[in-house]
Amino acid sequence: MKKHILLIEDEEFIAKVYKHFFIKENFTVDSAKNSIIAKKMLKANTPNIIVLDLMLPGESGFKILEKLKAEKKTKHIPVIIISNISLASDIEKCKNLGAIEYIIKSNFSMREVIDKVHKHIL
Amino acid sequence: MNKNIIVKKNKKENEIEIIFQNFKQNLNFKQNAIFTIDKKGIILSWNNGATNLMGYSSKEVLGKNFLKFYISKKNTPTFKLNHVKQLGENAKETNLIRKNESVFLANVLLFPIKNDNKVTGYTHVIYDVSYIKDNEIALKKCTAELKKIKKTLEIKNAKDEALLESIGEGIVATDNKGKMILINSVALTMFGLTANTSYGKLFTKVFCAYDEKGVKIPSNDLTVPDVIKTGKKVLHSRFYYGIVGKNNFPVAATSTPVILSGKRIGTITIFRNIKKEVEIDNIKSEFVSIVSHQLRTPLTAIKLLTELVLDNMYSGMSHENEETILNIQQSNEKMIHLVNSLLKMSQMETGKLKIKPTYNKIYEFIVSIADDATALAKSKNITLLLPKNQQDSMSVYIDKELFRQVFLNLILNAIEYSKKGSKIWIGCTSESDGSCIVSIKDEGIGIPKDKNEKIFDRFFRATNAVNYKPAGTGLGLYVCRLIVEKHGGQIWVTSDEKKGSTFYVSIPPKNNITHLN
Repeated sequence: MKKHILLIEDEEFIAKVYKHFFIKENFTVDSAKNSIIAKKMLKANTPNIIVLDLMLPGESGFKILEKLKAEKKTKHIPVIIISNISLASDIEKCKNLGAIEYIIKSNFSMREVIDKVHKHIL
Repeated sequence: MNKNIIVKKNKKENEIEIIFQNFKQNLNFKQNAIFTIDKKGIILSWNNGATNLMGYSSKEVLGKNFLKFYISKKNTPTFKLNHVKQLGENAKETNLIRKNESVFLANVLLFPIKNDNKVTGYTHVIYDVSYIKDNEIALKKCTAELKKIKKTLEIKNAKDEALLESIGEGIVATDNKGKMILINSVALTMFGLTANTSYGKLFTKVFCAYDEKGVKIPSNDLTVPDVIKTGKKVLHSRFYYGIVGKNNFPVAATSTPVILSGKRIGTITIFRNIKKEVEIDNIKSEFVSIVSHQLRTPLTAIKLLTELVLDNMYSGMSHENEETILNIQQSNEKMIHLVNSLLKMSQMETGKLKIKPTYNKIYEFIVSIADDATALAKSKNITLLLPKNQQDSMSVYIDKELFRQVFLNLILNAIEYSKKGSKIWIGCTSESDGSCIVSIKDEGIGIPKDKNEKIFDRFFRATNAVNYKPAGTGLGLYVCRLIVEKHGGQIWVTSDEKKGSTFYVSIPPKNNITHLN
């Protein structure tokens, strides 16, 4: 069975490319552009990994991460943060909240992102 | 008649002599003249004191008029008998002239000599008061001088006070033991102190300080005790100072020893409230991090979309188009690199980027970085020559990630600006003072002589480098400099245009790293 990724990213172009390469890598992908859609998808289909942006409309990535890690059903799912924020304090904060990896989007090629997904996916 | 007078006179003279002895004892006169005159002023007797004081022998003056001793007749004592009721009542200060024509200030007393209740003459007592007068004059002069000095000091004091008060910075002066002896009003207001309760107290008992993380600085490490201990100027550029038990705020504090005649007598501390500057710095770095995020988002989209296009190439793309896409990708990577450099620079400048130094073996460290550059060097057929293997290479106390960036940048630059088939030497030496110097020498295009200093400035690029490689950002070496300086080290270059350059980085021993705070 194919492994499943939940991608939470509001930036349309970026989501499109991530999705393309994840599918090409033989994953199945649900792509959500905000926390409300993400919640529905999460209920319908438990992912093997979550790829989460921080700057989102409505609930921020920080909040989503915090909730995921507080919830019994979801706290075991590894979360990779993808963001263009590179403040040390924010990176620290995500690690403390339970993120397994922090990727600065502009500095990682798709290949490197896929390698990280392979490394951490359940 | 004459005999009588003398007898009477002698009797009187004895009385006077006793009184005069008292004078003499009290006033310690050296020279006193006593002589008698008749009613017309003719001198009848002359004692030794008179000879000493006036310079005339008794032979020279007996029978002469006493007025010759007076400079002007105006000063002559008048013999108004009625007014002379008591001895010494008509004492008068006047100038007299000696035989040698020297003038002196004298006190003159006249005592009437009575015979059968009729005045027959006078006993004349003269004593020299010129030295009293001299003393008096000297004293007056002295007093005037003191008054003048006092006034000058008062003016100077007022000026100093005005100066201290008009300075926008807080000033605290202590004695050599660290007890506060002066606090200007700016400092009083700044810290919420009152002069009465602060003067005479130890600096360390009143002030406390915290670092940026809020960790309390031991009181012995405050500026004032440090100056007293070392005798050198101490600067705390960004500590949070405050009064024990009260709020603290960021200040730049400078303490300097006060030296008088080669001896240290105390300290002066200047406090500058840098709350606003810190706020501005925070706003600036916040601004940069937001802007860089906003810039990165479209750059990421371009990066990923071009990857997508290249991935879809099988759908039929000409070789020409593929190359165009690759060019877009390269330019985009440069832009991303520029944003990253800007961000790093801003974080460095505002002190936001904390360095996390650890001990690293320098030889192994250099070799691992050179390894990363080998592929690029090979592509240009450039030989990288490493330093000699050091069995026990020295340990340096550095932030590994940041220094990797410094050395990698220098090695990549060396490769970038060298011709195919040339050599690059990497060296590392330990210095006698415990510091370590890493050098990277190339045979590349070199740097114009007058630009050797400038290439470490932000956005500076030498013209020959621009011609050789137009796309550089002018930030690489600047960021290297910030990183090296943040570690208390130095970066410099020696170069000859067209012959090559050698870049040097010095890393100080741990205890010399002063900027870590």
